[in-house]
Amino acid sequence: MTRMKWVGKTAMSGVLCLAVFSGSASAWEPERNVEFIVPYSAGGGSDINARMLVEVIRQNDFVDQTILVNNRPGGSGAVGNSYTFNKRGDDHTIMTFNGGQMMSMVTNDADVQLEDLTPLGTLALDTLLLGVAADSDIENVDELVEQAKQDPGSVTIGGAGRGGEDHLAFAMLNSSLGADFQYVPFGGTGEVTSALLGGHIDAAVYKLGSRMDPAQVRSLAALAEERLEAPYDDVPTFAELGHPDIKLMIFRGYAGPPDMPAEAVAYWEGVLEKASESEQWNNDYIDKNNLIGTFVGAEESAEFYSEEKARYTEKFKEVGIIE
Amino acid sequence: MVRGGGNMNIEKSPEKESLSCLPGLVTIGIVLMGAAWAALGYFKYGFWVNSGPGGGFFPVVAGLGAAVLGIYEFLFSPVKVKAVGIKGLWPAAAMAVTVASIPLIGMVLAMALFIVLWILIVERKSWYKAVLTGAGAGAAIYLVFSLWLKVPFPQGFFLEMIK
Amino acid sequence: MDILQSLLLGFATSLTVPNVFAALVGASLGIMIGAIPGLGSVTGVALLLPLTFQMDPITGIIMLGALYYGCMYGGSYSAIMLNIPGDAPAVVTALDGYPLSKKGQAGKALFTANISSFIGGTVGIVMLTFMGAALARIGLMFGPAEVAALVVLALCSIGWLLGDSPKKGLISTFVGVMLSMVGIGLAFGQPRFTFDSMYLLNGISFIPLVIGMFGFSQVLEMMVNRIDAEGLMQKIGLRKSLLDRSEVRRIIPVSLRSGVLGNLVGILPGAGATTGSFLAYVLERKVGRNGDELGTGKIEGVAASEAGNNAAAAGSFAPLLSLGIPGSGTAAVLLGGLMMWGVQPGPMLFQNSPDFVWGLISSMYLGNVMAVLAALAIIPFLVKLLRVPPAFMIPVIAVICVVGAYSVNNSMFDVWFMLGAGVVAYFMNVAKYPVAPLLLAFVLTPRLETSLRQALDISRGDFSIFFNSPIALTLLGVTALFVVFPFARKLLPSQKRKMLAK
Repeated sequence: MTRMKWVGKTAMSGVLCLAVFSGSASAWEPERNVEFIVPYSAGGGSDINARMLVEVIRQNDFVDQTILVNNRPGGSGAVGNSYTFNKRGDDHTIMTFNGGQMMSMVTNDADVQLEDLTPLGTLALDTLLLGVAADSDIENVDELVEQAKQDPGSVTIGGAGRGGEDHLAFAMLNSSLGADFQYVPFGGTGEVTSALLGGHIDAAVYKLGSRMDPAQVRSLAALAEERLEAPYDDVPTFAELGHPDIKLMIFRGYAGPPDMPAEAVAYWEGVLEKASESEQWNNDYIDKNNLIGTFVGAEESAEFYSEEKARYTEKFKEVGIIE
Repeated sequence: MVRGGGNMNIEKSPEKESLSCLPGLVTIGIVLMGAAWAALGYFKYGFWVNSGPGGGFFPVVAGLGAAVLGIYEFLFSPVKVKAVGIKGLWPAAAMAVTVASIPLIGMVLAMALFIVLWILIVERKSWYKAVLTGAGAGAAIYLVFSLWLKVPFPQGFFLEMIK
Repeated sequence: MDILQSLLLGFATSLTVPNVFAALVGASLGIMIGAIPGLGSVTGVALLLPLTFQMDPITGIIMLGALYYGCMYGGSYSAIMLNIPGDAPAVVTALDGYPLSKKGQAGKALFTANISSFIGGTVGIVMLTFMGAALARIGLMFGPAEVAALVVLALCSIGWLLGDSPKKGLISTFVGVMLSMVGIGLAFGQPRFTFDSMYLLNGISFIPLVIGMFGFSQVLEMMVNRIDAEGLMQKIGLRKSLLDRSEVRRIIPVSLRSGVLGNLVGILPGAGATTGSFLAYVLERKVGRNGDELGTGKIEGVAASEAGNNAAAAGSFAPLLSLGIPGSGTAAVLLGGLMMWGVQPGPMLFQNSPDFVWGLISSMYLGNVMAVLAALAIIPFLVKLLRVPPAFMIPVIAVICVVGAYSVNNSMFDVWFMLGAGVVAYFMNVAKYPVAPLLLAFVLTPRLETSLRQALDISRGDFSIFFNSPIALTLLGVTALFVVFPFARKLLPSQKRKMLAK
């Protein structure tokens, strides 16, 4: 079984300096039930993240009040974002905030943007891989690029969704590898896998967290900052292959309503840090979902998010998803 | 009253309680929608892109189809409908008012009130039957949705204030 | 036989007192959640999942499996009794189920639904047990081109549901296509017909649309036609609700063939239970003895739809277990559960943790049996519920519509949308536009659009991709036959045509 545990520093080193926690004792504490917004449906990645976090907080008594998960799906996260935005002044509202959510803000030119929310911290990172079916003739990235160069547009790369993480990863490959690939969007990673195994597409991009089976899919390269752990430890990163700009770390963080006072931010940051250190969180959530555990404080997260936002915008412009 | 039914009333006085131009209006509505979809699809979303159907392909096909068939329907096959009950719009209007009150008084109370008032005013049953049904349904909704399934219903402006 | 032995081993693991109890609890909860409009198996499984982490993995998966089956059973109840399909496959169930209720045969329809669910589900599980891995391999042969051809076949079969006036049915179908185009489609990524509303960005939400068009419009209808409502609430004794021997004999062959077909469709990536129940219904219409009367309230229609979707649900486990690919939304949530327990689905699963796999498969048999038992115990109460006079029933149904529409996405927008859809559907009914083709086109068209675009992206715009694949070619050939055949028949001036028009 895969075990990923790069706590904090290593994972984000390229993007950020060390994650520093502001250890100040917080004066603010919740006085009533806390509303935990999930801008996606029950059963999705963000929902599992939120419910697991609530469970860890409850069992370890990190927060005295009850936390209620409230799913507000719609508009690729826009409905939940705007719900949280309208809770301005209510420090009892927090929301899951992840990379895909921020991408849809960019691609859909949504009303509520990163600047309209208060980042509280980041607890997990995910990354993507490029792979082919295990019985494919293609052994490495160069062969794939070579094939695409001989007949531009003939090499198809499948991914989940359009304008999301997988598509962004594809955009990076397409612009940096110097070959003309064809992106084919599918409804989810499950559909991508069946198309790949059935030989309907040549290659695919998929998240580390989707736990692609190495026996069925040969991963050619990772968009990670550093080498992944087993069973992907023999997969080179794109940086190692000479493409340092092909990298994408997707964050799973949390945000509050706009203008949350510093005391409340510090309180939630403290809760998140405690959760990130708990054994239960690392065993039941990080390991089992094949994510990379981390803790990044509120301020550093805000910085990280806005850097990523700039990068997303640029890449999406390059491939013409946004103007 | 129940067995007599709305139908009888309508048949007695069709001119009062009927909207016999309605089918035509529905068809016109569909034709307009079809035209809008076809136009937007063709000019904005692209009919044929990258040597295949574009984002406007299905809207144009379906929009044109609906518009052309709709015009034909409207002109050549006038529907012989039995008189239409305007009565059918009553529950919709009542429910619309109730739903509009949800942000104020909350989901559970609004739903219970709807049932009570409906049974009292429309069905003219005794008040205790009305209150009993309303309270029962309200309690069931609260227990199943709010307590068990944790559906976050709007609690209403007043309850939020008290908190 | 190796498989039988493994299965017996599985039963040895799963048939313990706590497991049977867990299955019963799961099935009952599932029936309740499934019966509530707006909540389906995805929500049910997601809600129960955290609870099961404290359990032994096998007990946990048994409970979830039973809940899944329970939801499938419960989903048909509101479709039959109130004309409010709780999920997409139940739309097809409502086509015959609700007319049966109107004739005062709600009990028969409910029993039919559950018995055929049981038969279809069992057929599906048996096929999964003995040829799951092989079927999953076949499923892989269905790429975008093949799926597109399959959906074309399904779409053309809407033609048989058009009703009295084919032109009006066709117009309804087109309206369904237009509505389905709202939002950011997977194929193109541009927001279409959203009128700058973020609520429409992901498209029109299906369940509120269905609740409005079927359920709420029914409330409005009942106000006008109290007599219909009276028929619905006729006092029926339980004995009259039971199926007699000839009726049981009528639904068994239907359930069996629908089960096989549904199972095969369920295996395909992204085709799902709706396509399964719909194609089973269409098959019944073509080959069934009473095929032409389907849609007027025939138990065969209910049986075909329910057997089809339960078998499809079982089918969606084949790619999950043998390849690690979730075939449906619920399977995806279950996959999350499996991983939480440290089980990695995939080709190695059968070798690495045989006790778990066979425990899971045997638990499907168990869950299915528990669900049918729980359902048979519940139906008499449901039949009694229908005796509530319309004066009380109408406002309560209206309230269920609102609460159900809200609960799908916790959204007031959906409530308003449901009300609007209800009024529109009421007008459409008045103007004699059938609503069922609209909903089916709404479900199927986006799948066609996506697969079509994917196929052409893969082939770089070369349409020969549809003709080079034997599977796609066969499916398209069958479609062509189906389209040409009725036209040929129309040339024959016989009474047959009149019967068809019914």
